[in-house]
Amino acid sequence: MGRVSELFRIFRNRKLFVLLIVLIVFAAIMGFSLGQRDNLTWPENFVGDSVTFVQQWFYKPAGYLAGLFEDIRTMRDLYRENEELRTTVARYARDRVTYNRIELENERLKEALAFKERQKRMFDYEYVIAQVVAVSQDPLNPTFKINLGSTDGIRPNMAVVTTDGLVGLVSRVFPLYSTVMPITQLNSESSGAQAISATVMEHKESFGVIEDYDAQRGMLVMNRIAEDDPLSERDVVITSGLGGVYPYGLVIGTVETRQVGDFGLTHTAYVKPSADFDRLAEVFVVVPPDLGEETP
Amino acid sequence: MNTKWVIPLTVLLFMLETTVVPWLIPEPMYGRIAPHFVFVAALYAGLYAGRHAALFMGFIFGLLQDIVFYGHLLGVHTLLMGAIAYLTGFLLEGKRIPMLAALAVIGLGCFLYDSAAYGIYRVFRVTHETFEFVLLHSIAPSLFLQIGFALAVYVPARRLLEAKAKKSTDEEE
Repeated sequence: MGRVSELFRIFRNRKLFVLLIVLIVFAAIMGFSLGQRDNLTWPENFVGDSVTFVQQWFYKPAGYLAGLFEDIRTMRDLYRENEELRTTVARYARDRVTYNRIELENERLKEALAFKERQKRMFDYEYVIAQVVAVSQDPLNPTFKINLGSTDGIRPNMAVVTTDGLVGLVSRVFPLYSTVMPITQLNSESSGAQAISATVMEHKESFGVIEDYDAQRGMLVMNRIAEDDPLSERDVVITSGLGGVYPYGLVIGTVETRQVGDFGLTHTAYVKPSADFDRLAEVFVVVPPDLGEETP
Repeated sequence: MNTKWVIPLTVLLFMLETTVVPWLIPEPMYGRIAPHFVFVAALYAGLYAGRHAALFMGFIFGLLQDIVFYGHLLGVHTLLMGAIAYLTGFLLEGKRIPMLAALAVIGLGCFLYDSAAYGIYRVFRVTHETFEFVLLHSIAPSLFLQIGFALAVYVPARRLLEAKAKKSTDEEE
C-alpha cells in the first residue's frame, strides 16, 4: 500500500502522467504502423477514402489551370518538340514492323518449346491508368494518392510508372484509393527497406540493386555491382524482374557515374531517374499477371 | 457563428494545401517548400482561442494528415500538431499578443514542428539525411511560406478565433 501511494505522489501532477501515457501510446502506434501492412483497419479506410474523395475535386481542376498557364508560356517550345516527336514517331513505325515480326517468331518458338501457360503469361503486365488526386505536404513523407484501391486489385509494392519511367511503389492500399511512395524515399537502413534489382538495357548480364536515394545529388544509388560488370556511364537502367516483386523492363534512369563502393568489393553507380516526380497528373500502376498461389 | 466557421474553413485549408498549393509552388522549389497552413491555423487557435481548442484542432487535423497520406508511419503529425499547438496555448493563452510577436511564435512553432518531425523520422530510420541538409533544403524555405500565410490570414483568423474565446468566457460567467 505504501509503495502504491508513493507512486501516486509522483504522479500527483496529473498533466505529467497524461503526457507520459500519450508519449508511450504514440511511440507504440508509430512502431506498429511502420512496417508492411496488407490490410488497414476500418477507421483508417473510412477516413482515408472519404477525405480523398473530396480532395479529387480540387486537384484536377487546379492542375488544368496550372497547365493552361504553362501551355501559354511554353508555346514557343512546341514547334521544336513537334519536330522531335515526328522523328520519334517515324522511328517507332520502323521499330513496330520489326517488333511484329519478332513477336510472331517468339510466339512460334514458345509453342515449339512447349512453354506452359503460366510461363507464357509471366510478362503479361497490365498497365492500369490512375489519376493523382492529392499530394502530401510533408517533405519527408512525400506520398501522393491515386484513385485506384484494393477493390481495383491494387496491392502494396506494385510499381507505379509514368511514360518516362518508374516513379514509385504503392505504399498503403485503401479500398478506393492508395498512397504511392516515390522511389526518392528508398532507404536501405529503414526497417521496411525495399530494394529494386536492376540491370541495364545495353548489357543483359549486368546486375545491381537500387536501394538508396541521394537527395543531395538527386540520384538513385545502385549498389552491389560486380567488379567485372560491363555497366558503364549513360547506360539505361531497367528493372531486372529478379526477385519477383517488381516487373521486368521498367525504365528507371541513366547511369551518371560509376565508382568503387563503400567496402571496395563491389561497385556503386549513381543513376539519374528518368521520371519527373513533380506535379504528376496521370500514372500507370503495373499489375503483374495473376499466376495462381505460387507468386506473392 | 465562429465554431460553425472555423472547422469548415480549416477543412478547406487542408484540402487546398494538399491539392491546389502544390500546383502553385514554382518548379525548382517543388518538394522543398511544404505548406503547413492547417498547423498555422492550429497555432492561431492556441494564441487566440485557448489551449483546448488548439489541442483539438492540432490533433484532429494531424490525424487526418497522417491517415490520408499514410506512407511510412502513423502518428507523427497527430502528436506534433497537437502537442505544439497545445504548448503554444498553454504558454501564451489569454496574453495580449501583438502581430509581430504572433508571427514570431508561429515561425518558431513551424520550425519546431518540422525539426521534431525530422527527429522522429530519423529515430525510426525512415530518413538518413543530415539535419543541416534538411534544414537548408526544406525547413528554412517552408518557414517563409508559413510566415507569409500567417501574415495574410492574421486579421480574419484573429477575428474568428478571439470572438470565440470571448463568447466562451461570457458563457462561463
